[in-house]
Amino acid sequence: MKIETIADETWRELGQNPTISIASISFWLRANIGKLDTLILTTYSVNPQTLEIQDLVNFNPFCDAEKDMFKELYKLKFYELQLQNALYGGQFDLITSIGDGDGKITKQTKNDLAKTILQQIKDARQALLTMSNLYRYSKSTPVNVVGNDFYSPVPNLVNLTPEIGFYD
Amino acid sequence: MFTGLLNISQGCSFSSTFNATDVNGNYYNLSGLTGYAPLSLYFGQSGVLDNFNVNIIGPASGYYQISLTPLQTTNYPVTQGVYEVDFFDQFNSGTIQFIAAQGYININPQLVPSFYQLPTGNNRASGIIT
Repeated sequence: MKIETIADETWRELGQNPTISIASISFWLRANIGKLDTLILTTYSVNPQTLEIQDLVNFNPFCDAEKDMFKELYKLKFYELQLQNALYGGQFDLITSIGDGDGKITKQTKNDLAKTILQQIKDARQALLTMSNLYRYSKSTPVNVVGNDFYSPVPNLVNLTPEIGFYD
Repeated sequence: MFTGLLNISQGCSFSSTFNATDVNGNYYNLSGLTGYAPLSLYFGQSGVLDNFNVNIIGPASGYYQISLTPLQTTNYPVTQGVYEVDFFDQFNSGTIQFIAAQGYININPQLVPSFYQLPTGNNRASGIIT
């Protein structure tokens, strides 16, 4: 799967936001492949020749599950940037309503906006954590079964040999 | 020095003109200087992705053009790279005189690069590509 494809999907899912581009997302994806590896315990890297994602250690393909996780990672970063912009971007407080007779003006402060975005970040972070846990769970296999927690349903197979892992 | 974001597309030509100015806004005199404008994937990359073609149009007013041909841009990766335009005095020790421009450049994707070869048997008249 090519990086520009992932970047294109991400950009569309973020509503084709004009502050970012497929090019800038592509750069971020290449620069942050290590974050994905750390999150889901993989060994992907960017091939210096093709500039595409490859697993040069375990040779696992980069499939939909990994792609979706990577997109969520970028979205989290995007929300964090939105929070920074809301707090430090020099935006004025938004006027949400203006009264006439009472001369009332209602404003939404930067702080209110930041709280909303912060909640969005928390939700995105939780979703990412859940996804990564499920991913790791789906990829995990038991490396050893020992002790009294394993019993064969077939009595004849109990205590055969320790090498094949049957204990009582 | 100009600092700004440039945008190019794979397989498309690109050109842009600038006036080289110092910190006070005065034009540099580019007479006798040679332009060098590398394009890299990131700062610190060993080697460069490519070089812009630099054409000095009006030396006295620091007016110059940087350009890329479709043949050059066809195989660029989609990314946000970095660029820089330097001017050298090649007859006076060849050292860099000043940096005229520096910034980031978006390389946007394109479905069919200009130099794409149609597969055998397909042609535009067949209606496959209109």
